[in-house]
Amino acid sequence: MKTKERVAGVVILVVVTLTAGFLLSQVYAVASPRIEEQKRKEKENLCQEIFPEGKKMEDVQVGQLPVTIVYDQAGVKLGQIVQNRVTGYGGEIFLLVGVDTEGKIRKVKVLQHNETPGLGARVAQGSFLKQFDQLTLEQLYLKTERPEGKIDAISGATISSRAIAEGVRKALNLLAPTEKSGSSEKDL
Amino acid sequence: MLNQLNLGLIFLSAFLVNNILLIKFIALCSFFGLSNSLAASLGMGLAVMFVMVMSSSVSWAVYHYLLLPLHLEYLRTTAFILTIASLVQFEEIILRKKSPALYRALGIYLPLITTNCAILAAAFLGIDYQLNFLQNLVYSLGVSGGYCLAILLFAGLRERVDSAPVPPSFQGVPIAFITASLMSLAFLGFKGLFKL
Amino acid sequence: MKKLVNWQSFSDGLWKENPVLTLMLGLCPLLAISSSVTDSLGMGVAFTFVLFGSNLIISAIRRWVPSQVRIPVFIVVIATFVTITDYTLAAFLPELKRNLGVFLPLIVVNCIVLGRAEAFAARNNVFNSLLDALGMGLGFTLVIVLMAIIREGLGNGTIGPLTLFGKNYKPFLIMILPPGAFLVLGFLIALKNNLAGRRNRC
Repeated sequence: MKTKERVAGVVILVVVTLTAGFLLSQVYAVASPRIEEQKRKEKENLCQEIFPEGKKMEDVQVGQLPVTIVYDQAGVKLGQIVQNRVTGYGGEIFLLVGVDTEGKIRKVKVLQHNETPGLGARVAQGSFLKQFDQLTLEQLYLKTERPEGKIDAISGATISSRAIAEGVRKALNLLAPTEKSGSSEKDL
Repeated sequence: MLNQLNLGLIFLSAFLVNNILLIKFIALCSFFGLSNSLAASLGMGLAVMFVMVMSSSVSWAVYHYLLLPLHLEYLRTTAFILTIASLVQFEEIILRKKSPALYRALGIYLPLITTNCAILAAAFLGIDYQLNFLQNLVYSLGVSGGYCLAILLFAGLRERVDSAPVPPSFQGVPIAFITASLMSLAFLGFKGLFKL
Repeated sequence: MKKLVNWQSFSDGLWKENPVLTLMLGLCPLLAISSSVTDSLGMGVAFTFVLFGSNLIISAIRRWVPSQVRIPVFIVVIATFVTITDYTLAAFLPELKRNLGVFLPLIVVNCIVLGRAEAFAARNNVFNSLLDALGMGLGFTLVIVLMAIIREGLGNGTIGPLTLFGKNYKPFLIMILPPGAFLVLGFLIALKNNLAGRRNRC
């Protein structure tokens, strides 16, 4: 009797597990293409926000960082978007830095961060990030750091603000040589 | 993210900055359930350390050597919880045979651990942060160490609070939450450690 | 004798046996997610769905499951529903899924779900189990949304898309930080104790 019960238990467990596994594989098969689609769309939306006239995108790797090159409808290069990360106050901050063909900042976006809500987290807001538009490499410092700096830090969140400026500078530095030597001349 | 840091910082991050109980809010049931006794807290804390280090290593291996090659990522939740449940059973049997003293100290906490979300959370987070095996090991040490630290500190505080005059509506659980709130505030101060 | 249909199993979950305020279960997602009203609502719905699904299946198969393998079978059933929810959210509401983070898969070990499976669904018929799941799920959702309204309202001056106190409001920051979660829940439970105590004295 006892062994019979035990066998029954094992059989039930196996049946339930197999059914569950089968069910999940079906759900996965339906959901996974949609999930990929969503991920692609999300990235495309962000790129569109940085380069609204962008039509074609090409993913490359420059140094250690993923870079997306954006072209317009006619195939003319508009600029590049660098994905970078820096250490902020509460951990890593993930940035998207849009750079136009003249080496100026187009737009900066914060993808993900772990800064203090209400203080450091305000660096992810438009009002702070707007300051970066159209800046060149030497202007990408806090006003308190260098006289030519153009960025006002968020009060109470200097570390987070400085981290973003640093991350943007690094992204620009990474692109600078390629911008000068190769592609920008071809576009002329 | 986390996988870019060196091992020491991974440990610190898990131990203090992102303390699993006070900042991440995981495993709170046991936190409030057991912390009215210092001895029980110590027992649970050690049992969690013991199980978590092993289970998150095993889960890591299961994910990377079994689920990924077979493209069965969607079974992750099911596989991890079953891995942990059987591992806890297994550890209980081993402990009872090999080390009766340790078994007497930790034994009653072991069955409770299967539903302690900290164990499962550490396994998930190790995968989500894309840690390698060694980082994952250090991470789980940090997480469980942080659990131990917080629950012991909290148990100490609660013993003191018990003898304090508290308004009737706040007695018991509510005042415990408010105590936890102040502790969490203190742990929030560790956030800037990353900029050291 | 147990009645076939017992409406009380629904209403108990809302107040008298509220899973959070009375039974102190399911605290992790409650405290972690309640800094935002929208996310809380999402968590409440996801949670109710898992509870509903697992209670349905478990009460339907309870007669065939021997007691030795009861817990593993329950866990597999719950994990299945959690994974379904996980993938559905990832496919349709990726932002919500990202905000809920690890707390979505952690519903598996949520004491409310396993607790209800063991204490209620394993002993009652399908219909009552569903009522119980809805009651408990709704009880959880109510508390988490209430907490989120307090925390987001005071800590950020907003409730979802609404702005509450105008532009010049200096937010009560601590409310959306982790300590605020403990604080608000402490006060809510004290309030419930106070109300319940007053009724008992009458």
